[in-house]
Amino acid sequence: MSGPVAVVLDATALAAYVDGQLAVGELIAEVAEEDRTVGVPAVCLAAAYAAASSEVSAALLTLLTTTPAVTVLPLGAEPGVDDARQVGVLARTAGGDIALGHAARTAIAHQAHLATTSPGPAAAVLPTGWSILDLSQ
Amino acid sequence: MTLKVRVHQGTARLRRAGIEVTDAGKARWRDRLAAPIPPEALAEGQRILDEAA
Repeated sequence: MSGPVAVVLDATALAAYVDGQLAVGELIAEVAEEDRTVGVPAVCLAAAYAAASSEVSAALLTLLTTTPAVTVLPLGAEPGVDDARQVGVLARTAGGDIALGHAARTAIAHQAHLATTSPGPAAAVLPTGWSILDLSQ
Repeated sequence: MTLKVRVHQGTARLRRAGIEVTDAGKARWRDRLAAPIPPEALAEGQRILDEAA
């Protein structure tokens, strides 16, 4: 990881990247130029792989994780249950969406912006006023 | 390795990953990234994590 995590991509952002949405690449490039890092929560990456409709899509996701400014952030980096419980509690607010729970937990823990194409569900999980970067615009 | 070289290499890797970017596109995010997350939101986020831990 080259610098602090500035932005966290949720599963919808990863899907948008696979679909070729330019905004995702522009965001990653800007973060890289600022010598900061884009965080990809492992559960979001797993969800994106699960939703990948072809080998090409899966390969694009793998390639994304090799870019210097992108780092995959594991669930449960430390021993214990705290991370899993926090993700679960946040996911409960998101109707059981574990990937969004992990994205929100990661954004809060790193004090980072959350990038998504679905700002509504993200806003429901994150504290009021949290920075949400809407990639759908 | 200078920052300029690292940025160039990073851009090349992004291109291999299918990402073509423009300066105008990046500028769109610059202001948003510079805006800090409000302290009240940070405090609320920490409270949520502490309660759930």
